[in-house]
Amino acid sequence: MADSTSSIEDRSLGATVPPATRLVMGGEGSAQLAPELLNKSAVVGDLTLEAWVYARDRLQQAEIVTHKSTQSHYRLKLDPVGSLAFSNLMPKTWLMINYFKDFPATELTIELLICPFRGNHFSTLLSYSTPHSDYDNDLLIYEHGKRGLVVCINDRSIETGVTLDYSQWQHIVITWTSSTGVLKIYKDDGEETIAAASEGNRRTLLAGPLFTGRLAQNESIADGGCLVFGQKQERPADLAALDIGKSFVGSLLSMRIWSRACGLDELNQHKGVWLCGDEEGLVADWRFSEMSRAVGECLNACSVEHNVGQLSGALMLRPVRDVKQYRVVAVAGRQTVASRELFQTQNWKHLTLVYRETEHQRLAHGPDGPTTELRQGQRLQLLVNGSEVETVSLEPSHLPFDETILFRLGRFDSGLIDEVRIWNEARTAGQLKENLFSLSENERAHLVAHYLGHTTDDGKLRDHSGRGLNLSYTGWAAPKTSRQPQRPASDAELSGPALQIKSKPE
Amino acid sequence: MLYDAEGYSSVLNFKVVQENTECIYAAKSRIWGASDWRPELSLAANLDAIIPHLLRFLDLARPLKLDGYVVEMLGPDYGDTIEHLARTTRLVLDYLSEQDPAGEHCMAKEIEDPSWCFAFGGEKIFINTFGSCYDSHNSRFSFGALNTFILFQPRHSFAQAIRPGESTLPAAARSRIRADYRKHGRPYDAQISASPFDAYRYVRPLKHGDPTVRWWEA
Repeated sequence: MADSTSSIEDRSLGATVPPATRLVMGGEGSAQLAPELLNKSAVVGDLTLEAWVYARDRLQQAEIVTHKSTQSHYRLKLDPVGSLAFSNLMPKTWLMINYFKDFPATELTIELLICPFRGNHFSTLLSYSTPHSDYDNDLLIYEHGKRGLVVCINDRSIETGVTLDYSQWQHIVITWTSSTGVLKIYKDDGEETIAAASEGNRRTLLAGPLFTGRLAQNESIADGGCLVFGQKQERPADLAALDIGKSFVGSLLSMRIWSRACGLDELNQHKGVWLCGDEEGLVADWRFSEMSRAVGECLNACSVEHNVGQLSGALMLRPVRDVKQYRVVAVAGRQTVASRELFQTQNWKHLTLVYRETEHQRLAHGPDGPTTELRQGQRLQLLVNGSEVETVSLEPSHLPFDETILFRLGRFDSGLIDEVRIWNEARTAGQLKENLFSLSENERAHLVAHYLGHTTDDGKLRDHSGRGLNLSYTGWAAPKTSRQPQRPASDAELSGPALQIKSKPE
Repeated sequence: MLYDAEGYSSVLNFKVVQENTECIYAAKSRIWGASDWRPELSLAANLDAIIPHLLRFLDLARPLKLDGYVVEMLGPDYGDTIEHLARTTRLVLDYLSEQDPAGEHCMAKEIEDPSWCFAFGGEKIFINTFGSCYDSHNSRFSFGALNTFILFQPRHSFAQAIRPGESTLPAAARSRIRADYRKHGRPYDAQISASPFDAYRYVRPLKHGDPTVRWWEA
C-alpha cells in the first residue's frame, strides 16, 4: 500500500491538499455513508463495482460493499467455504440428504475429507437407509475400535483394519463394484500430508489402496433412501433414533459420491479440485459455506435442486472453520449470483461486478399474428483479476441482509479491502483491463464513488470521485507496521489461477 | 492449598526437560508439580497424597490456562530401564484409574482403541513419561535428570495451540516440531506417531523401530 506521505489531488477543491492518513480497510471496522447522502450513492441502470481484496485464512465475515435504497441495490461480498464441526454431544450434529435421487446402485465411490477427533468407540461416517428394504442400513461406513473402518452393504460387512488419523486432515476414499464385489479403501499418508502442508504444498496424491477385499457381490443398493453423515440411523430419516453414542466426532470439509468405482489416477486428478458438477458419474459434491450454513444447507456442485444436503440445527450454530477458500457473491438489480469457482485465500484479487440492463427483442404470438416486443433484461457479470468467471444464480432469500445498512464498506474480518470504485456505467473489458492497477484521469466521468483508504481533514474516509461521498468509519486505523501484504502493481504480480477447477466440456 | 504449585521441586527439577526439549510449546508452558515424592512410602501412599492436588490442578487448568502437571518419582527403579518405566506407568495409571472420582476407570476399558485415552476426574489426559533409560537420541531424553517424570497434559491444553477458526494444529507447527527433534538427533518414530492408539505414545520405545512398549501389560 502507498505510504501516507503523498499529497492527494482533490477535484472538488481543484487544488492539492495536504497529506492525509491512509487507513487499513479491513478487520472488524467499517465505513458508512450518512443517510442524507444515500441517494447520491444509488446507481440506477448500468453499474460497475470494483474492489481489490485480500482474504486471509479463517475468513468469516467478508462484506466488501453494500448499498440498498429504494432506487437501487448492489452488493459485493465473499462467502467463506470451510468445514463443519461434528460432536457426540447434544444437540446432535448431522448432515442429511433425504429421498436421495439416483443413489449409486451397483458401483460407487465415496470421498470424504475429514479431521476426526477421539470420541466414540463406534464412530459413524456414513449411514444410508431406505424405507422399504430389509436392512437397518443399506450402506454403513464406520470405524469400530481396533477393527478400523467397517463397510456394510445390505447387512453384509467387512472389517478393513484401516484406521483414521486423529486430529489430522485426511482424504478417505471407498470404492465398490457389485459385479466383482471388490471394495477398496484409499487414505492419505498422514506423515506425508503434514510435511507437504508445512511446505505450502497443499495437495498430495493418494497412493494405492490400503485395503482391497470383497463385499456384497452381485448385490445392489436401493434408491430413494436417506443418507446421513455423522450419525447412525436406526430407522430411515428418524432423527430421534439417531444413536449419539455412535456419532462421528471431528470436522468435515467435503463429501463426494460417484456412481462408478474410480481408479487411482482419476481420484488423484480430482483430489482437492472443485468440480463443475457435470463430470460423468458424479452424483454429488458437497461443500459448506457461511451462506449455505446459515440457511441450513450445503453447496452441491452438481445440483441445487436434487440431493440437497440439510444440516442439523447444531451445525448452523457455529461458523464454518478451516476456511482457505471462498466464493464471490454479487447482487445488482434483482439478481444475486455467486462464482461457480472457489478462490484461495492469502492473495490479492481484483473483483469486478458489471451489471447491464439490456434491451432485446422477443418474438411474441398474439391473436393478430406474430409480433416483436421489446423486453428489459438484466445481465450480471463477475470478473476476477479481469477475467469473467462462471456464476450460479442464488435465491435472494439465501443472502441474509441487515436492514439497517444503507451504504457501507466492510466488515471484512481476516482481510483487507483496497481501492473501491463504483461506476454508473457498465465498464467494458478493455476499460477494466487498462485501469486494473491505476486509474487514468480521463476515466473518471462516470465514477460514483472512489475509496483508497485516505481520510479527510475532518476524519472521514475520503471519496476521491469528487462527489463528496465521504464515509464515517469505525475500527479502521493507519497501519502500525509496513507488514501489510502489498497489492499487485502489474499482471505479473497477480496470483495464480483460482482453486484448480475442472472446466466444463465445450 | 496455600503453596506455590509452580515452585515445587518437581517442577523445578523438570525444568531441565522443559527448557531443553525441542517442542516449541514446552518452554512457555505452565506446569504445576506434585509434592515431594517420599521414597519411604509405597507408591499407593505417595499417589494418595498427590491425588487431591492433581484434582485441584484439573479443576483450575482451564480457567488458569495451565498446561501440565508433573509427578517426579525419586529413585532409580522407576525409570532406569524401559521395563521399569513401563511398569511404573502402568502402576501409576492403574491406581489413579481405580481412584477416579468421575468413575470412568479408563484402565478397565479397551486400551487399544482409537477412542481411548487416559482420563481422570472427567478430563481426558495425555501422558508423557521421561526416564533415565532414554539416551540423548530419544525424544523423551531427560537431559541428565536422574529421576522419573510423568507429565499429565489435559487434552484441552492442546487446543490453546490451535488458532481460532481451525480444527487442528497447523501442519507447519507439527512439521517444525518433528524437524527440530530430527535436527537434534531425537527424531520421532513415524510409526508410533501415526498409530491411532494414544496409549502407544505414552511410553516411547528406546530406539527407532523397536516394537511398541505395551506398558499396560507390564
